[in-house]
Amino acid sequence: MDGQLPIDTRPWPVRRDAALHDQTMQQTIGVVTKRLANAKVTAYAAYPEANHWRQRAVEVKRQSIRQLEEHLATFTQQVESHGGKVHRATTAADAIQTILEVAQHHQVRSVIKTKSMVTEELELNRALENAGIAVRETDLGEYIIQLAHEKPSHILAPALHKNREQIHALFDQDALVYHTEPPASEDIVALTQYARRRLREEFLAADMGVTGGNFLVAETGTVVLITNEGNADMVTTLPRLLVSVVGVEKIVADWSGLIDVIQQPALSGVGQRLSSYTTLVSGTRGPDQWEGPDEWHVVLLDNGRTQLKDTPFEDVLSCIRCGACLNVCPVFRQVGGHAYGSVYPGPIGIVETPLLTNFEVLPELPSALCTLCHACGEACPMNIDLPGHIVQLRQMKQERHMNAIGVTRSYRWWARFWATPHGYRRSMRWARWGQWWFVRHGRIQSAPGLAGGWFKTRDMPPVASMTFHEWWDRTRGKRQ
Amino acid sequence: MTETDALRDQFQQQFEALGGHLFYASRADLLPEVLASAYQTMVDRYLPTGPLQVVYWLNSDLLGWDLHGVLGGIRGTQCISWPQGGRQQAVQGQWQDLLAESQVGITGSAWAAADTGTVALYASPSTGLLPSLLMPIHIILLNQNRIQPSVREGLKRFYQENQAAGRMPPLVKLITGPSMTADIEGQLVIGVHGPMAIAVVVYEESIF
Repeated sequence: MDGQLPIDTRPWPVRRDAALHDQTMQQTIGVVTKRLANAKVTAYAAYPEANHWRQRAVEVKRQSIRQLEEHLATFTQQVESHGGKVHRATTAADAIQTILEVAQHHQVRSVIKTKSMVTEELELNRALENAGIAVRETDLGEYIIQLAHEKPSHILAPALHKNREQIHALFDQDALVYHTEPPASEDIVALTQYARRRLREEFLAADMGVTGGNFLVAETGTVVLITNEGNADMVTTLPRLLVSVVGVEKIVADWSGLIDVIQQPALSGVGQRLSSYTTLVSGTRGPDQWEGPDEWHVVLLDNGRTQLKDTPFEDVLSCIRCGACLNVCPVFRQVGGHAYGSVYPGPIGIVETPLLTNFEVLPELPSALCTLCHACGEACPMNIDLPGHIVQLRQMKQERHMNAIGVTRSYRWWARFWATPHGYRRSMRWARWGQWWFVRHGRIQSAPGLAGGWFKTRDMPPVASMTFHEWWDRTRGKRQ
Repeated sequence: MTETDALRDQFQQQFEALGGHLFYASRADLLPEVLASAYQTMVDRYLPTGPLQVVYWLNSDLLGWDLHGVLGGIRGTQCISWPQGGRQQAVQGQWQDLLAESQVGITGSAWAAADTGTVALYASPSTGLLPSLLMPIHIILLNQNRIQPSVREGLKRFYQENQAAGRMPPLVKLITGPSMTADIEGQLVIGVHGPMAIAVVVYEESIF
C-alpha cells in the first residue's frame, strides 16, 4: 500500500528561490556538510578495520530485509515476552491512531520526544497537539525548529538553517511564555544552557516518552537509540510510559548483526566511532527496578516501505539515516533540506519520497535536484545505488508520461541528433551558423526556447569555426 | 607492558580524545586517594562554587565501601547511596528530585571498550542510570579487567553473559564521551542534557 508523506506544497521554483536567497542557511549548511563529509573520511582512515565492518553491515542489512516478515515476527514475540507490546501500522494514519489510543488510555497530558524522522513522517506532534496533548522535542535542533514552527533542514542537524540571533529571539519568546529566566546572552553556550534548564523541567514532569529507533534486533527484542546529547536516555529512563515508533526496515536479525551495524551511523554521519550515547531498550523494568518504563509500546511503521521489497529499489530499505549522502551532495550544499519539500531531503529523499508514495507527491525531485555527479553513490556506507535509482526514477516518470510535453519533445529532438556521430556533427554545423544571433563579446550569451534557462547564470564559448573532426578530415584525412 | 596495561592505554587515549578525564589507581590500596583526587579535580574545574551533593552506587567488587569517608572532607560534600533493591512509587518523585538537585553522580560500570573509549552501564535494582545522566559531573569507576579490546568484543561478551539467562537487561547505556551537540551553527557545545564533564577512575582488581 502506498505511503503518506507530509509535503511543502509550495512549487519547486518557489522553494528553490527561497533557499537560494537564504544567506544564513546557505552559509551554515555549506560549512557543516563539508566538515561532516571530511570527518567521515578522516574517521575511516584512522580506523583500519572500519571498511571491512561496513561491508559486513551492508550484508547484514540486505539479508535482514530479505526475510523482513520472519524477523518482525521474532521481534514481536521477544518484545512481548519481555513486557512490551508491539503494534503494526500499515499507514501513517494507523500509527497516529495507535499512539493516540495509548496516550488517551493513560490520560497523558505531556509528552517528551527524541529526534525521530519517522515521527516527522507521521506529523505526530500536530496529531498529539490536536488531541490536547503537549509535546516537547528534546533534541536541541528539534526544540529550536519546534519553537519556530518549522521543519528540519538536515536529518542529523535539523536547525542548521538558523543562526544564533534567530535562536536567541526564539528562546527569549519561549522564556516569556514559560515565565522563566531568558538566556544570558546570544552566546552559543548560553543558548545551550537555556535549553538544558528549560527542557530539564519537561523531562522530569512528562507523562509519556516517544522515541524513534536506529535499529531493531529481532533475536533479543531490542530497540537501539543513538544520540549525542543524551536526550534519548532521559526519554527512556524517566517517564513511566514509553512509545517507540520505528520503520520496519530498521530490523536486523540478531545480536551479531547489531554488532556489525551499530557503529555505522556515527562513523559515516559525523565521523565518530560511536555516538556519545547508545541506548538499548529490551523490555519494561523489572519489579525492583527504579528506572525504565512500566509500559512499553513499539509501533512498527510500514507506510509504503514493504512495497519496495522484491523490486530493483529494495536496497533503499538498508538506509541507516546517517546523512552521508546529504553531506556530499553539491545540490544539497546549495539549497539545504527545505527546498526538497519532503521530510527526507538530499539524494536519499529524492529516491524515497516518490517511491514511498508511488510518485503521488513531489515527482519533480529526481529530475530537478540532481546533477548525476554520483557523489552520493560513493558516500553511501550501505552501498545503496542512489545515482542509478535516480536515473531509473527519471525513466519511470517518462514511461508514466509525467514530464511536460515541451520537455519531452526537446530532449527527444536533442537525442535524435546526438545519438549518432553523423547527427552530432550536423548539429555542430547548424549551431555554427545559428549562433551568431546569440554571440556577444565572443561568447554565447543566450539561446532560444528551453535552452535559454541554461544561460541565465552562465555563458559558453561559441562553436569553433573549424571543429577538430573537420580539421582532421582536411589535414590528416587527405594525406592518407 | 602487559596486555591489560596496553588496553588501558588505548582506552585512555580514546576516552581523553572525546573530552573525558582518566585517573588510574595503580595499586589496589591507592583507590580511595585517587578517587578523592579525581573528585577534587573535577569539581574544582567544573563546579568551582556552590554546595556539593553526590549520588553513587558501586560495582559489586567494591560493595560496602562508604564514599562519605573518602569525599566528605572535600568542600562539605554530602554523599547519598543509591537505594539498594525495592522501590516505592510514593517516594519515586522525591528521589528523582533529589537526583536532579545533586551535582555529581558516581557509578560503577559493567565494561569498557578500548577502541572507541566507551563505557557500558546497565540499569538494575542496585545500579541506576540516572546518576550518569542528571548531574553536571559523572565519575565512573572501572575495574581494569573489564576493559575489552573493542566495542564489538564488549557487545559480544555482554550478549554471552545475558542471553544465557534468557533475557537482556531492559535498559543498557553505552557512554562514549560527554553529552554534546553541534545543533547551533554547527559549533560543538559540551553538556546539553547529560553531564558536561565525565571522568573514569580505573582500578585494579579486588581491593577489599
